[in-house]
Parts: sequence; structure tokens; C-alpha cells
Amino acid sequence: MKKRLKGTWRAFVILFIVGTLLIQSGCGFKDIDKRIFVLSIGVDHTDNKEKPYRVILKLSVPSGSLKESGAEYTYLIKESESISTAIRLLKTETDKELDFGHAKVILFGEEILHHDYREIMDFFLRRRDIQTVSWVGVGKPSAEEVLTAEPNSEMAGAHALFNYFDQNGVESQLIVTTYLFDFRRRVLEKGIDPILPILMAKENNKRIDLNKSIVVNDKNEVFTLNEKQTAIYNLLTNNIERLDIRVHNEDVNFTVAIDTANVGYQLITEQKKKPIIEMDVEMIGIIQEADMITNPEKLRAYSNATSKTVKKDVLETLTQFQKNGMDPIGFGVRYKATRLPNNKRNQEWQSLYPEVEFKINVNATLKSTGVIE
Amino acid sequence: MSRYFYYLVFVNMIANVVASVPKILLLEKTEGAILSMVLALPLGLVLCYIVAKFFNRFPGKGLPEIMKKYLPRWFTFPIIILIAFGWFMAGMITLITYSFLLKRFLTPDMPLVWITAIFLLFISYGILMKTSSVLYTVEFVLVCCLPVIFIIIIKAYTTAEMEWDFVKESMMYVYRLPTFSALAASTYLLLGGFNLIIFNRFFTKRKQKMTLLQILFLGIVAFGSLFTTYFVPIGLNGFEGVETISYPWITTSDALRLELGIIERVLFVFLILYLAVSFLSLLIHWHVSLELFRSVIQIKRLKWKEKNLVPYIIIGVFWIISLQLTKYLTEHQLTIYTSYFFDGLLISFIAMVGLFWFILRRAKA
Repeated sequence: MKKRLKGTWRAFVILFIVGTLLIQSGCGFKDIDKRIFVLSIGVDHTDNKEKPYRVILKLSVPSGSLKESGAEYTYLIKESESISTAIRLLKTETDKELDFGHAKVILFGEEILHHDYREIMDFFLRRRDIQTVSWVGVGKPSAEEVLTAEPNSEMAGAHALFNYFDQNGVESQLIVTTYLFDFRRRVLEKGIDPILPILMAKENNKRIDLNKSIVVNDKNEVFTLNEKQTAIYNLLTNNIERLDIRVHNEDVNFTVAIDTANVGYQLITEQKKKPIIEMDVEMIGIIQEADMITNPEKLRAYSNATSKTVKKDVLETLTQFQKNGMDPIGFGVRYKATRLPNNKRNQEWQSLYPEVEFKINVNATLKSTGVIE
Repeated sequence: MSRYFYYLVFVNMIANVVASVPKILLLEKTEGAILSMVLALPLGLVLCYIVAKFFNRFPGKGLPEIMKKYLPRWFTFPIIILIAFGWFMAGMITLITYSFLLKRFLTPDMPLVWITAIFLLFISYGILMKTSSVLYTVEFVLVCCLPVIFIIIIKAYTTAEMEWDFVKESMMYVYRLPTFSALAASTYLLLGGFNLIIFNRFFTKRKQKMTLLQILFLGIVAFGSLFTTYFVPIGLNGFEGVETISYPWITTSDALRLELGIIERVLFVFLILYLAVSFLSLLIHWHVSLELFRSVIQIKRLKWKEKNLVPYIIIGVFWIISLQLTKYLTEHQLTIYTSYFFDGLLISFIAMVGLFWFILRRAKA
């Protein structure tokens, strides 16, 4: 009898625990058909002082089966005084719960960068559901145009913008990828400036171009990098290993495909001397295209020509950065990282940076002329 | 030593990441956090060595048994209560920190008290288990989790976004004098061995030995653990601004991305893993605490169906205190109180070494 009682008691406890599980699922979890997923978020600046922000959410429309549906997206747009107020208002415009867990692209209109973009950044970081590995970019002419663009190659369920940034789809020397956490640390840190890719909507919003980038410094000044400078930036920060370089030599013009690149630099400051940044660029590659028959015996000469071209490009780009007071590579951080702190290293670097002289050594090695000579 | 001793030490080393240790260290980043860590390493190892050496003298006996044998009762009682309370607080900090974390990242719609209650439900069952069962649980969960944690750490070091210039920038502050709170927080990593005060009951079989090689091994692991705890968040979140993050390691894990992994956002893998490890840490600390309370609070009359109700009452008190504290504390207060707790812990553990010495003298006499 006693044993039996114990058995019932145990069964009761187990039932109770299972019962609590039932209550749990009821207390806040929303099913997937009650959610709508935000794919990307755009923020534009309006000139209206009352409602300075225009928030654009790109949502994927849920559909029964993948085969039937084309790429269907819907957009929610609202102007408001802050992003969260805009989102609160937007919530009432759909019948489902907005889920930001899959929002992987955050776009700013360029105007935002001239204003206080720190506040906007703060919103995205403070929310727990927005990934800090989402990509940040600048939309031109506005974030709205880029987000509403639907490229022809876009497939259902595969947002084109994701493929641009994700290095699984397109891989290019011209694409700068900046994650949200990277953006944050660059904004907060003195001595390295945030760099963002520029996305340009073209041809009636059927195409998105992504080959320029923009740097913002601590004084909210911006500097736009063209294609070449973007590629050089990517090379210098070791973001890419593959890039193409067009070389003009005396007798032959050719394009080099670099497949291995390695860049390192040193910062040398001595008393009463100009500060020097000594940069070493190592590259290995092959010839990809030439306007004449190439001579494999002259590979060394071609290599030297390549080195010279790269050296010129790098020097030009770095001088441009310096002239505009931009430091996307982080020379300032390196300066602080190699000297003991005295609480005014940041100011010191501010006055040193315009004086810096760049010494660039490029060592390009061409291994082959490709399949043909 | 037996491998179970290492598990006890390792759980503390790993679980500190979600506790406030990185936050406390990062707050002192320009004030000598690095030198504090450097000092904490030998200090922690010495404490670890002493406690292992002491309990090797008494195989199969926990601190309450030893104290009862060699010290007067009026002395034993308050000391044991005090120690038990300390262990209870250690577990409580893990519990509340992790409840906050779950509330923030995994189940934002669930009431905080519910989260804590569910945690408590499983813990209550866990701490009532036999000491040996607790150790087996610890081993099993650790064996499951350690490889994945290891992969995440490797990923953190090898990711392209890891900026070593930030790490170097922080290293420039190496000459700053150590602070006590940073020292205490980083020593906490190595204090897992003190769980022997109860778990030594399990180590009966053969004479245990603590050799120099084993200390060296612990030292290397502790070094790696401290280095990772402090420098990886800096490398991924930048030097200026890292201290304004509420949970440095959670944000750090969110900065990692397994492009082709089953789950792309490492954050969720990380949270689940640390849920397991925090559970272990809580299990160990509260098991010790419960056993200590039990050893001094014995009311024979409180019986129901031949079962002594004292442990259940103690657990009830645990529930009430933790639920009330979870409701009362804010995140910021938690960090501050945790810091005070670590400070107190270091002092009292050094005092405990004094106690060990006293007991040894009595034992010899």
C-alpha cells in the first residue's frame, strides 16, 4: 500500500513539472506564422526638425511555398523623432509581430553621417535582437531607394544585399564590409575612423552598385573613396587577398591578378624629425590580361612595373586620407599601441598625423604569364 | 590529484566569463588590470596548492568533519555558517547574473522571477544529490561543453575582425599599479579548488598528491583563461568603449559569425553553452553550501516519514532569498555587489588558509 502511494506521489510530481512546461510556452512565445521578418533597416535624415528620421523596414512576405512565390517584399516607412518611436508606430501597420532577428543589413542615408549618427548607432546596439554582425552601409541617393530596389537576380528568400556582403556570394576587391560592432568600435575609438560601403541604386531601382566607400572622421566630416581607393584600402587592411591591378609599362600594358597579399607597417617617430610610416606590401600573382604577347623571361621586369604602380596608388590613397584628416586604417591606434600612455596620446597624434611621411615598399612577384604567353 | 579536482577548478575558470569578472577587469583597464592579473596568477596557484595539500592530509573528510574533530564547537559553528553563506552568495551571483542574461537575450518575454524559479527547480534537485553524483554530473556536462567552448575561443582568436592593435594598446597600461578589486576578481578564477571543503569527502580511494607539474598545468590553463577573458573583448570591441558594454563576453560572442555553421550567430550557441556551465557552477557552490549548513544545523525532531526535513527547509530559504534578490537588484548594483563579494572573498580565503594552519597545528599536537 505504502509503495503504491509513493508511486502516485511521484507521478503527480512528474505531471506537475510537465504541466509547468505547458504554461511556459503560453507566456510569450509567438509562433512563426504570427511573425514577420525584417530583412534590412534603413534610416534617412529628413530636414524636418520635428521628425528628423525616416525609418524604412524591408520585410519578407511569408508565402506558402517557395516555388510559387517570386521575390516578394514589402516595405514599411515612417518618419519620426526617434527610431524606436517610428518602429512602435510601424508595428501597428502590420498584423504580425516584427522580428528583427534576421535583420542583417542596416543602411544610413548619407545625410545621417553629417548629423549625430552616434545616437542612431546606439539604438541598434542597445537592442538585443539586432545582431552586431549585421552589415552597415550608406545608401545613395537615399537608404530608401536602395532598400526598395529589387535587382533582377534577386531570388525569393535570398535578399540581394546579403549576398553582396556575405563573402559567399560575390567576392570583390571593391566591396568594403563593415559589421555593426566594427562600426561601433571605430566610432568610439580615437585614432581609427569608421568606413562604410556606399550602395547606389541605379536604373529605376533594378540595380545596386557597390564599389565606393565613405569614411567619417571624429568631426563628422566625410570623405568618399572611389573604386581604386576602396581597393587599396581593402588591400592595406588585409581584407582581401585577391585583386586586379592595371599596369602601364613602356612596351606592354597588362592586368595583374594578385592572389596573395600581405601588408604590414611601422610607425617611426623620432625627436625633431618628421614621423614616418613605413609600409611593406608583399604580393604574389599572375598576369591576367595583356595587350601584347608577353615574354616570360621579362617577368621580373613586369613585377617591378607592378610594384611601381601599386606603390604609386598606395601613396596617392594614403596622401588623400592624410590631407582630408581621415584615418580608416588605424594609424592612430597603432601610435597608441606602441607607446606608453600619458593621457594625451590622442592629441599628440592629431598634431603628428598631418606631418607624417609615407615610405612604401612594394614587392610584387609575378609567377606566371597565365595559360598563354 | 584526481581528475575531479581539475573539473572543480575548471568550472570556476570558465564560468567567470559570464559572471562579472570581465566587467570588473575592464572597468580597471587603465588602472592596472593587467598587473593585477599577473599577480593573481601566482597568488591563486599558491592558494590552490595549499588547499589541495591540506585536504590531502585528511582523505575522505570534509572541512566540517575536520573542524569538529579538532576545534571546539562554539568556534566551529559560526565559522561553518559564515563559509556556507559565502558559498551561497557565490552561487547566487551566478544565478542572478544568468537570469538577467536569459531575460535579456533568450527569453525576453518571460518574467524574470519565472526564469529564476525554473533555474531553482532544477538546481534544488541537483544539490540534493549525493556528492559523487554531483561530480559525475559536472564531468559529463563539462566533457560535452569544453570542446565547443574551445572552438569558439579559437574562432575568436582567428577571426579577421580581431584587431591586435587594440590589444596592444591595452597592454601599454601594464605599468599601472594593481588594484585590489581587479586582483580579487582575477584570483576568483583560481579559487575553484576551495570546493574541496565538501568535495574532499569523495576523494577517499588513494593518497592524492599535488605535484609541481600539476600546478604548472593549472597555471598554464589559468593564464590562457585570464588572457582570453580580458583581451578578447578588447580586441573585438575596441579599447575605448569596451567598458561601456554591460556583458562584455556576450557582445564579444555576438561579434563572431560562423558563416557556414549550423547556427550563424555564435551568441546563441554561446548562451546555451554557458547556461550549462553556469548551471554547473551554481550546482557546485550550492551543493557545498547546503552540505555545510546541513553539517551544523541538525534538528533531529524535524522528521516526516523518516526523512529529515532540514535540507528541504534550507532549500526553501535559498528559494526565498534568491527570488527576492532577483526582484530587488538592478544590473548595475549586481556588478558592484559582485565586486565587493570578490574583495571579501579574497580576504576571507586568505583567512581560511590561517584556519587550515591552525587545524594542522592542533592535529599534530
